[in-house]
Amino acid sequence: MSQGLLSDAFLISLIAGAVAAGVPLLLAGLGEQVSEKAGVLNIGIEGMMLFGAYAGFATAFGTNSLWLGFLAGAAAGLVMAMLMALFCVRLGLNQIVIGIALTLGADGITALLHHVQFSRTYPRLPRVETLDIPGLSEIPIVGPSLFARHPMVYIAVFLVLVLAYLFRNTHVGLNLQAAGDKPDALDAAGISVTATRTWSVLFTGAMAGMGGAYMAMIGAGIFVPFMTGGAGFIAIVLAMLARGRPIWVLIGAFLFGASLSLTTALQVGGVNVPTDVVQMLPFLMVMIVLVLFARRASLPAALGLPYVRGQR
Amino acid sequence: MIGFVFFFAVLSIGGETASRKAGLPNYFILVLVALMLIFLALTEWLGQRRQMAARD
Repeated sequence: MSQGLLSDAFLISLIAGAVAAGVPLLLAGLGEQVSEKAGVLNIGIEGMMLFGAYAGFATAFGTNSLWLGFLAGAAAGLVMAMLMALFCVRLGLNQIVIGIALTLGADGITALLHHVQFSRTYPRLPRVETLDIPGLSEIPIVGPSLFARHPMVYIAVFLVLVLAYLFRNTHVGLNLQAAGDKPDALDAAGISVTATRTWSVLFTGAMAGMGGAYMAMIGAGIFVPFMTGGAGFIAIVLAMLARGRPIWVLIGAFLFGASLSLTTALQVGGVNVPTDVVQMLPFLMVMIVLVLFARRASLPAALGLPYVRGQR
Repeated sequence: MIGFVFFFAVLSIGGETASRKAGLPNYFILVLVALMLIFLALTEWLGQRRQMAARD
């Protein structure tokens, strides 16, 4: 058993699976982090991912272009985010109720669309082309699993650096922080809280849509109803525990990705563990992480509260 | 609360019967539930606005 766990095949499968399962969590988690920083708790991110997954898959299947699929995924997430922005930021409706409604709505609509379009054929996308980084991709075990991936993986990691810079060194980062912590101070400084929150929610939608599209087009190569399976909710937990630091979203996403990919890796390693037990692992991990680190999570003071000028 | 639960039960059973008759999968109910939640939130918002207007 230990030989199976230490074999090259097991390790490559585990790391590659962690990346494949971690990238959607990373994209959605980064988006959620922006939204939470600005004071909007985006529970609808699960629905945005699912809608992005459907739109991305259907477009990539129709056009044979993954990049158009990503664009469609981002656009689908954006459409869902527009509803979130309209109801929660503009009208100030309850963010939790609307978030749940958007998730349920996306569950139903994508399942119906799948039923009409794909339920008889269950089409698959062909295997994706990878971008091998010269030199690094030849390192044993780590090379093929980390440095021979679809370009979207590198873009997602690059976005971590961009957001870290944005949060720390720019006015945009400060504005987001103020919209979440002290929205009236931001308003007094002459910057619209509503506009700041609206843009952050739209960004979240696009990121979640791209995460979903990655999951369907590259992670699975197929779209099935409810395929996100709670990934959006894990992304919310990641964003909450990362305390405003994108790098922690990256680390958390790949940890959860590893636990999601453990089923396949254990089978490759020849370890016979019931699939049901292994499928519990990511959620068990969420519980353990919450028990250990939830107290350290610092959330913006105005998170989840609608902003009305002059109202305390 | 009891009223909402009753309304939800009627909608859920009615949605399932309607989707079966129309030959649609029962995912259809999820869309109805989502719409119901949005309308509930909108109703609450309208109520709040009316209260604020009455106070002014």
